[in-house]
Amino acid sequence: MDIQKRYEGDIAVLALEGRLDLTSASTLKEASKEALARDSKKVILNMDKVDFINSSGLGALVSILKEVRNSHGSMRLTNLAPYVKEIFDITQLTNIFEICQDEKQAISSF
Amino acid sequence: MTDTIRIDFPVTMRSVSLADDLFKVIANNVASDAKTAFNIRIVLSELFSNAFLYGDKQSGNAMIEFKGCFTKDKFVASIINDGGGFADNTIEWNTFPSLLEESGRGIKIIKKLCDKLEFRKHGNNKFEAYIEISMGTREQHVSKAGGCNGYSETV
Repeated sequence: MDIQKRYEGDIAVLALEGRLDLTSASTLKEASKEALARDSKKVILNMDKVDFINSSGLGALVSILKEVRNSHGSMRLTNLAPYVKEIFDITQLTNIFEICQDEKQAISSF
Repeated sequence: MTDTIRIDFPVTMRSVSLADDLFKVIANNVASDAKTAFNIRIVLSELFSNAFLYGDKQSGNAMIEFKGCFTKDKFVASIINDGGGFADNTIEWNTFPSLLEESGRGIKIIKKLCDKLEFRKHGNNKFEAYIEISMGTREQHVSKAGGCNGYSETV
């Protein structure tokens, strides 16, 4: 998985590319830890280029969400492909993740 | 009858990645639409990850076996591994784990997306997860209906 990080004020934007599964979960968790270490309390994960996710990837996202909450921050997911979004629906994770259409909507929602 | 693809993978993290590359190609070729392709890929990925996580990593010669076959109207596959099984009989299929749990969703995603899911034990140490997914009509891929050559109910 390729992860591009950028910072807009106190917002960390992580643009993910590739598959989010057992092989990439730890890479993503590490990248989000680095963002939180920079005192970014607001985190956006742009999943526009994530073409595949499985339960290991979902577990990584839950782990990151808990870390963000523990840091008294908040997190948004954006640009989910329809089939990726469906996995969130199936697992009911739409109840804990705030999912936005795009980065613009996510930034204005903080 | 159609032939069955069979590939053995060593129990390594690299195999998880390679297997998913293979599953992506298989799914895109056998499915009649993008949604079915995604579902096949995620089911196979979950099964393989499970086999990797809970299978024998100590002996050094253990393998994870993938078998797959598609007929006119369904995709059939098995992931067979040495060591730990995939699930036990205490699974409550209709509920997902607490939303903030980081694991426990894979087997339930499989159950939701498959038409048939069975766990089979072979001998003392081999476990098989067997799945079937309906494919709709795919005349362009397979000319004859029928079963899978080399695939029996008890592997």
